[in-house]
Amino acid sequence: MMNQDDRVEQFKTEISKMSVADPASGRDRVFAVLGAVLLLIGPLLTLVGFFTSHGTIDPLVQNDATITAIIGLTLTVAGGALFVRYSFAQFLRFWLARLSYESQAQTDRLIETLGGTTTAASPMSAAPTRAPAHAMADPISETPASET
Amino acid sequence: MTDIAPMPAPMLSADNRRATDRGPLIELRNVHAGYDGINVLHGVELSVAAGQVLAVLGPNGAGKSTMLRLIAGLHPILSGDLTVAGRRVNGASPEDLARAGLCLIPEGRGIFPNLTVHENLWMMTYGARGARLRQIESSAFDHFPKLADRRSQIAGTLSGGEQQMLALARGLVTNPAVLLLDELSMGLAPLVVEQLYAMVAQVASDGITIVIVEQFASIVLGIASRAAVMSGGRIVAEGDPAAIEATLSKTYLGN
Repeated sequence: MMNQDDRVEQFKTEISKMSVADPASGRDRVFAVLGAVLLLIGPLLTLVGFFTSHGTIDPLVQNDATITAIIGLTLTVAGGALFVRYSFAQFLRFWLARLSYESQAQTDRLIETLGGTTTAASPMSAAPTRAPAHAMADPISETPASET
Repeated sequence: MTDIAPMPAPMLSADNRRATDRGPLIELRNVHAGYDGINVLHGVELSVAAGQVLAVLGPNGAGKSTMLRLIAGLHPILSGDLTVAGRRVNGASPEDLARAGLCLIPEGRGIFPNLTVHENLWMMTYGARGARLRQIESSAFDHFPKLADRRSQIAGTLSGGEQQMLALARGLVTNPAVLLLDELSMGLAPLVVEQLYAMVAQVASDGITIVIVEQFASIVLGIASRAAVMSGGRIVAEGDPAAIEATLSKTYLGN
């Protein structure tokens, strides 16, 4: 039986290899799939309306077919919007997070260059809940303990 | 229920500080969780280093079992982060965490009452056969000799203490890196509880990281390297077991 330190290292390796579903992406995926389905149903409905109106001389039936076709067009547009919005949501989320992080890091570097301290002077890190960029990667920050 | 006075600052022994320096193996950061829209955990902050034995104490309904189930991936997190081995694992499946080596022994033991002791152990070995299975069984019976005498007995007919031993043995045969124990003492006589915790102390001496949830403080604080108190879904005190025991004694007994 391996010793416990080796077991812990093996545990860490297994955890790092584990695939973990992002809960946020679940909702996005549902809406993207819904959008794709509407993109298929919408044009079909439009075609049904078209052929129905061509297959009759009754103006009432033709009106109904026209309305069916308009509904189909609406569903197509809505489905397209949903699909585009939610298929790009994950990418946009990461892009925004990265942009925010880089912006803050740049501000901190600027302040350091100008000679102030990062935590005291930076307007970005002046908010009580914001941590300085250099501490973001450290899961156990010494700062809260030293402040108490 | 009386609220427990919070510690002015976590009082860590030198051993605990060294353990913390190695970095937490399990960490909960501002975790909220609940059932059907009712929040049970309100911003729980907790960390467990590798090799530590953490005792989590508190009254019924404090959220202790919910927290353990959440760590094991059996309960969803509403907000906050669960980090295991430095990796955020919110939404990880419980079977993946178990395969990696995180083993939960639930309240109520979780044994298969219609199977024998041998079959219960076999179920935890991922289909081991022959010499490998005998080796695993032998290891379990070394820890719990009483179970060897009951090898062919139906688990549901064992005494409460023996069932709890079987539950522990099932956890240990999976070679866990982390053991989560939920209310080991539930429904057991004090003498049996003492014997069980003596075995847990032996397991802890092998260096396995253990998180124990208990209502009865005195016995578990004797084997813990660190303790936390939960009340109303929050960690209200945390630190050295002796200090926690003194705090609890003062709060409940006025000593």
